[in-house]
Amino acid sequence: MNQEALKLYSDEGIYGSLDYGSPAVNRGVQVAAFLCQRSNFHKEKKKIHCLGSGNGYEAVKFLKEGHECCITELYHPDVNILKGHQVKAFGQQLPYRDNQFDLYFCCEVLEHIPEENIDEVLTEAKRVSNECFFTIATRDDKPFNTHICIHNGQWWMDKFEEHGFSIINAQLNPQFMLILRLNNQQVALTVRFPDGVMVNARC
Amino acid sequence: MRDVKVFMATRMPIKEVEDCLTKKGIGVHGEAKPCDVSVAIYGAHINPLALKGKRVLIYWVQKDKAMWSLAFRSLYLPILKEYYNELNDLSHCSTFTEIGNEIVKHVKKFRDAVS
Repeated sequence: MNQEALKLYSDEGIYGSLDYGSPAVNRGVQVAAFLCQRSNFHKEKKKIHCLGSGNGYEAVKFLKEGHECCITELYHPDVNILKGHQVKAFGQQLPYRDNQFDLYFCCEVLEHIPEENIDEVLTEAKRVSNECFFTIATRDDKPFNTHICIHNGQWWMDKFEEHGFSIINAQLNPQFMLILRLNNQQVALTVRFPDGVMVNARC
Repeated sequence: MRDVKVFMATRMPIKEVEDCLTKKGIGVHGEAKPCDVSVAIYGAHINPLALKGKRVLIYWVQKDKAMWSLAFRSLYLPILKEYYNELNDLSHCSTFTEIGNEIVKHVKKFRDAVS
């Protein structure tokens, strides 16, 4: 599996496709922007861990907002701002200290991980961080077929409960509001994920 | 003179823009094969790292899609800056033909620089 995953998540694999991992389809930008507008994210610099951020958009967002960010990914895109922040490892064996991070961010990643590794990934998430934020797709991703762990929201909620996460906010088919500002304009944008789960929890 | 090939990345090919380029002898092709310049129009729906050659992003304020334009410039543009070699705001153009002519100017600049 490891070699297969390394090949799949590379320039020669799905990241060579124009249609895979665009900023709009990848929900990381929207979710990172949502977190950055939280009041405690304005006040202090956070240590954030991103698992499986692909092209790294959410990490770019966190870095530009002044947070520390560490990316654990198989794919290391050649993007200047991300240099020095990328670590190649699997989510089930993270090379970090206990409670090293303020936030473990994992947007649309768990569905790419084989079901037999999910427990280890959640155990590691709980170990390395004080808080976590997940969004998980509950549908397939044709024609790429990289979603290999597809379950409904209840299955995922049971998993988080089993691992003893303390849920702050959990939503099926989540929606949230982004306040976008540009020069003197400000608009509220409602973001909807009609096919997923969002879980924010204390570890 | 070097033959500069342009790949135009957009979900909706804009014929007027393509015509401007081909009339000026700039080859436009529709697949991300090796090329000298990849021009992405907007680009929120395109994986920038799959683009070959010099990556150029163009965008403009669409008055009939004010909300989308603001979302693009506020949410995506600051991120996309890190993935493209050059960004061009063509909001001063009022037609697709003008946008096409601006891209022609850009390609000419690039062609002069490499030849």
